[in-house]
Amino acid sequence: MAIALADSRTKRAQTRIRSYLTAEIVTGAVLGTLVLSALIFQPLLITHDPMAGDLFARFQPPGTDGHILGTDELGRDIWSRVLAGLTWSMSAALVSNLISFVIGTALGLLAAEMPGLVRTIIRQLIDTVLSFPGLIVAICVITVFEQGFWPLVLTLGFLTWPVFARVVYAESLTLLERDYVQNARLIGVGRVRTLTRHVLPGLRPTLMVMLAFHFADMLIAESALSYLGLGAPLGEPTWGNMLAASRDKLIFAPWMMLAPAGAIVMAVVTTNFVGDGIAALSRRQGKGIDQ
Amino acid sequence: MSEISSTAKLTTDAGASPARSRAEALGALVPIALKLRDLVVLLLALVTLLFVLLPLAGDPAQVMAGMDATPAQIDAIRAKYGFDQPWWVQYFRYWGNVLQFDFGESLASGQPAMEVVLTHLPATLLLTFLAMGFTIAVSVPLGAWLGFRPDAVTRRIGAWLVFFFQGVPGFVFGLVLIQIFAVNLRWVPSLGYETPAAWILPTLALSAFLVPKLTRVVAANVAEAMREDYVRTARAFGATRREILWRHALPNALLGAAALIGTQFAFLLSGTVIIERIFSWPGIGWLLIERTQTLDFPVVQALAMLIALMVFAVNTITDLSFRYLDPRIKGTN
Amino acid sequence: MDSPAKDRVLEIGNLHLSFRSPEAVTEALRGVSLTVERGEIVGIVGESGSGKSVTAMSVLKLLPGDKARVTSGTITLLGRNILRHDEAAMRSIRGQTASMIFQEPMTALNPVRRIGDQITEVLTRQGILQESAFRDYARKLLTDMRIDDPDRVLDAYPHELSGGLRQRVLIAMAFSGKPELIIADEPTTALDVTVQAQILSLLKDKARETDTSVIFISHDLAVVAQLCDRVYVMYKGEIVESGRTDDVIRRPRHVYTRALLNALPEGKPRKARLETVAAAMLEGGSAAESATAAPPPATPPPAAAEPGEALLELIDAELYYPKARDVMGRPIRFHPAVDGVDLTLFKGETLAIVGESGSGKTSIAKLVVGLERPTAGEIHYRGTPLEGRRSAEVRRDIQMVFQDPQSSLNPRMRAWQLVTEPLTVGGGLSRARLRDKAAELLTLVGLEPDQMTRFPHEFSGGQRQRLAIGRALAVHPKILVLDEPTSALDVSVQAQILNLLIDLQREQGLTYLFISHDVAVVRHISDRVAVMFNGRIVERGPVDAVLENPQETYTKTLMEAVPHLRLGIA
Repeated sequence: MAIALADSRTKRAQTRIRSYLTAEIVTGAVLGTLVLSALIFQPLLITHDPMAGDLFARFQPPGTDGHILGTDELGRDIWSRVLAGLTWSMSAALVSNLISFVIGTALGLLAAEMPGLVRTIIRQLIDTVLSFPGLIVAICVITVFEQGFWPLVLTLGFLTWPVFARVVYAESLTLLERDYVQNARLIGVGRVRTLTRHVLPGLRPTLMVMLAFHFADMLIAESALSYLGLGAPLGEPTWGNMLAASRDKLIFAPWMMLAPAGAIVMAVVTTNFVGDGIAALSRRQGKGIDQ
Repeated sequence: MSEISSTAKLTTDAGASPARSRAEALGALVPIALKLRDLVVLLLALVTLLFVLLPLAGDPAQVMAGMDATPAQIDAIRAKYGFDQPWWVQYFRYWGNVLQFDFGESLASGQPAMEVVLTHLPATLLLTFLAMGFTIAVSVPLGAWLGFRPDAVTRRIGAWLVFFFQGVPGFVFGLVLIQIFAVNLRWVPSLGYETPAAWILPTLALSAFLVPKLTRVVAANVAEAMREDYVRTARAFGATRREILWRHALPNALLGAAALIGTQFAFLLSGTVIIERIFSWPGIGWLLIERTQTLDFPVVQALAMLIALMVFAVNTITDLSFRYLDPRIKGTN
Repeated sequence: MDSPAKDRVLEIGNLHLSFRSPEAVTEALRGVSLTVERGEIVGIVGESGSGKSVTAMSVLKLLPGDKARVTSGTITLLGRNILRHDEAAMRSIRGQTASMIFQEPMTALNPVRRIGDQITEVLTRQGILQESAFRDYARKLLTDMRIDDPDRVLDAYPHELSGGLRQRVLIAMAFSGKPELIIADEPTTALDVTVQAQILSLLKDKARETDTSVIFISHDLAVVAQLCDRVYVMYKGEIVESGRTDDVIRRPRHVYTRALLNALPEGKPRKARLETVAAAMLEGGSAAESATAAPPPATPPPAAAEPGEALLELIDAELYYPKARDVMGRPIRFHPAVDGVDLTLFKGETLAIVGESGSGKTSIAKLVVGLERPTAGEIHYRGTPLEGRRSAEVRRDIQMVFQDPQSSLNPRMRAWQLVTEPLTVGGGLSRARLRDKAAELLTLVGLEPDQMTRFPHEFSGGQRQRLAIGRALAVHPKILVLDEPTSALDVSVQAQILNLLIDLQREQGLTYLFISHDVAVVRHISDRVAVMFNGRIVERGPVDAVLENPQETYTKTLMEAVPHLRLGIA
C-alpha cells in the first residue's frame, strides 16, 4: 500500500516535470543557454583581435588560415567580430529596454492610479509619441547628437516607452477594479502599498513577456540603425555595421553578409523563443492562480 | 417613481426618443473632435522638436553658406533668413512657414524642399501598397488556417515556422534575398525600380516586417473566436465548421487584425527607410537617409512633417473606421 | 411502465463518459440512464460537477470530440442510436430534431451581426422555407415569444437588447425548426427573478402548445419544481434519484436528495442551522435508499432582537454615476444608482436589501462601506455624520464581504496574509503576531490553521468565502456588509456559509447588512428587509410582513415571480 502511494507520488511529480517540458519552454531554454554561453565564454572563443586588420588577408573565405568565418574588407577576422558584436548589441538592447521599461511602467501606473489631468496628459503623451514614426525620429536625433552608445540607447529608450506604458495602463486599470483592490481601499491600505502589493504582482507575467519581446525589438532596431550608419560608430564591430559594409561586396564575399545576418537571426530568434517560453510558464502558473 | 404599472416595463427596452437621437448624432462628432485635438498636439510637438533640434546639429547659416564661406557671407545669410532674430520671432515665422508647407529650398538642389519630397513620394507609396497587399494576401489565409484547428500537428509545425520567421528582421531577409535571387541566381535585379521585376524583392523584404506578426494575430483571433459562446450556439443549430469559420470566426477575428494593420503602419514606414536604402529604391525613406547625411535641413524637415502626417492620417482613418465596423463601439462614445 | 417506443423521444442507457486531458482522465458520467417521453418536461437537478450539463451536451454531441469520449452506453433519440451518427448526421439533427438553449444569453449571439441575420442563418439550414418568407416567419416567431416590437429586434444587434430579450430570441430559434426535443441548460440562471418567471412560463406554454419535450437543467430545485413533470437528481456523475417532481420533493428517498432539500433555506425556521450535504453524505454512506427521514430538529430561533441603537443611517442618500461626457470630458448625463434613500440599520439586526440587477443595492453597499461617497445626502454612524475621509476607527467598524470569493482575494497572497491584511494598516504587528492572529481567524471561520500558507486557488469556493469573512472580522467590526455572499456558491456550500454567518452573529454580536437577490435566503437569515427598485426603496419592514404580505406593486410582482418548492409548508 505504501509502495503504491509512493509510486503514485513520483508519477505525479514526473507528470508535472514532463508538463514543463513543452517544446516552447525547452527551445527557449536551450537557445538561451547557447547565447548566454557565447557571451560568458567570449574571451575563450575569440580567435583574433576584432579590430586588427591584415591588409594582406582581405576577403578570405571561411576556413582559410584559421579564420573560421573568413575575413572582411580590412582583413579582420569575422568570427571574432561577430562575437564582439554580441556584447555591443546585447548591452545596447538591454539598456534601452530597461530605460523604456522603467519610464513606461512608471507612467502607465501613474496614469492608471490618478484620473483627471494627470491621466489625460500621460495618455496624450503616449498617443503622440506613438504616432511619431520611430526610426525616422531616431535618425534625426542621432544625426544631431552624433553616434555612440548613449545617444542610440537613450533615443531608443525614450521613443519606445509608450509600448510599455500603454499595456501597463490598461492592465492596471483592470487590476484596480478587482475586488481585492477595492477591499484594500476600504480597509485603508495606502495608495503606494496597494500598487506594490496588489497591482505590480499582477502585472508581473505580462511585463516579463513584454521585456523579452521588447528586447528583441531593440536588438533589431540597433542593428537597423547601425546598418544605416547611425548606431555604433564606424569600425566598431557590431552586426549592423558589418552588414552595411557587406552590401556592395555580395558578389565576391557573401560570407561577410551571411555571418552577421546569421548572428542577428540567431539572437532575435533566441530572444523570441525565450519570451515565448516565459509566456508559456506564466500561462501555466496563471491557470492555477486565476482559476 | 416607486410604483410599477406593468411588468412589461421591467423587461422591454424603451424606444429611441427624438432627443436621444440628436444627442447620438452629436456624440458621433466627439471622436472627430478628439482626433483634431490629437493632430494639434502632434503638430505642436513635432514642429517644436524640429525647431529646437536641427540647429543643434550645427549653425544653420554656416551650413547653408558652405565650408569655405567668409564670416561676412555667413552673416549675410543669417540676416537674410532671419537667424539673427530673437528665438520666439523665429519660432512664429517657422510656424507660419510650416502651415504653408514652405520649408525653404533644398541645400543640394535649390528646389523647394517640399517639392523634392513630393517627387519621391510615389515610389514609397508604390512599395508600401505592394507590401501591404502581399502581407494581407499571405497573412490572412495563413493565419486563418493556423487558428482554425490550432492543435492539429500540421498547424503546430506551421505556427513554429511562422514564429521562427518572426525572428528574421526584414532588412536581413532583404539582404539574403538579394544574395540568393539577385546575385547567385540572377533572376531579378537588386537595384532601382524601373521594371516590375525589380519590384519583387523589395516587396517581399518589406512584407517580412509584418507578415509573421499579422499571421500570429489572425491565428490567435480566429482560435479565440472559435472558442466563443456564439460559436457553440451556431454548432448547436447545425452549422458546419466551415460555415462557422467564414460567418462567425473570421469577421470577428479580422476586426482585430485590421486594427493591427492600422497601428503598424508607422512601423512599416520605418521599414521602408531601410529597405529603400538596401535596394536603392528612390522613395522618401531613401531620401531621408541621404539628406540627413548631407545635412540638407529643409528637406529633412519637410520629410519629417510629411511622414508624421501620413502616419497620423492612417491611424485616424483606422480608428474612425472601427467605429463604423464594430457595432459595439458604434453605440458608445 | 413502458411506453410504446414511438412515444419515447429520448432514452439514455447507462452512459459512461470520460474527459481526457494531458494530466488525467476523469469520468464525468458514470452510468447515467434517463428517458423523456413525448410532451414531457423533464428536469435534471444537480450542483456543479454533477454532470448535468455534460449529459445535455452529449445528446447533441456538442462536447469537444478529442477531449470527451463515451466509453459505454447508448443514447437513443427517436429510436435511433445517435452514438453511431457521424458529424454530418448530427448536423441535420441539431436545430431541427433537437435544439439546445444555453445559460448565458449575453454571449450566445454573435455580437457583430444583426438578430435577423442570425435567425435567418438558422432558418436557411432547415431548408423548409423560401428565402423571401424568412423575414415574415422570423417576425412571427418573435411575436410568438411575446416580443412586442419584433421588427426592431430583428434589426438590432445583440448588445442593444436586454438579457431577457436575447434569451427569447434564442428560444425562438430553438423552436423554429419544430423540434421534438428542446434541451435547456440553465437558461434562466443568469436572469433576474422577474424575467426568469416570464421566460419559464413562456417555455412551459410553448412546449405544451407544440407538444415538444423539454429537458430542463438547473441547480435550482425550486425552478424545477415549478416547471417539470419529472425530475432526475444527479450527484457526481450519477443519477441518484428520479420520479415525479412532487414525489421527489415531498418524499425524497436518496440521502443526497434529502440533504439537498435540507440545505435549502426555504421552508426552514428562520436562522435555524441548515443541514449540509457533506455531513449528510458522510453519515448516509453510499447511494442507498432509506425510509423518509424527518427534517432535522429545528433549533429554537433566537429571541427576537430588541431594537438596539441606530448604528448607521442613510439620510436621503444619492449616488449618481456619470453616464455620458461632452467633448471636454465633463459629465453631462447621469445615472441615478441611488436616488434618495433613507435607511436605518439597528444594532444586532440583519437587514436585507433585496432587488434585481440595476436596482442599486450594490451601490448602497458601497456607500455604507465607504467605497463611494454620496453625491447628495448624508451618512451617519452612531449619530455623527461621516464626511470626507473616514477615520480609521470607522473604517474598522464597517467591513465588507464581496460576492465573488475568487476576485476578492489576491491570488498571489497566502491565506494568512489575506486574512490579516486589515491588521497591517497602520503598521505595528510583527510577522509572528500576524500568523498567530491568522490562526485564530481561520479557526473562527471553520478552517484549519495549518492551511494558512496556502494560496486561494488551493481552496474551494466555499472555503474562499470563509477566508473573505475571516478577513472582514480581523479588526472586530461592528457592521458587516455582505454583498451577495452566497450567490456564487452551490446550495450545499451556501448552507454552510449561512450557518457560519448565523453563528458568528450570535457569538460576536454583529450587525449585518445583507444584500441579495435571493428571496429564500433573505427570508431565512434576516430580521428586516428593504426592497429596492430603480435606486429607491419601494417597501420595507419586518421580513415576514413584507414578503408574505407585500403592499407595493413591485414587491408583489417580485414575490409572485419567486419560484417555490411547494413543499406544502407555508
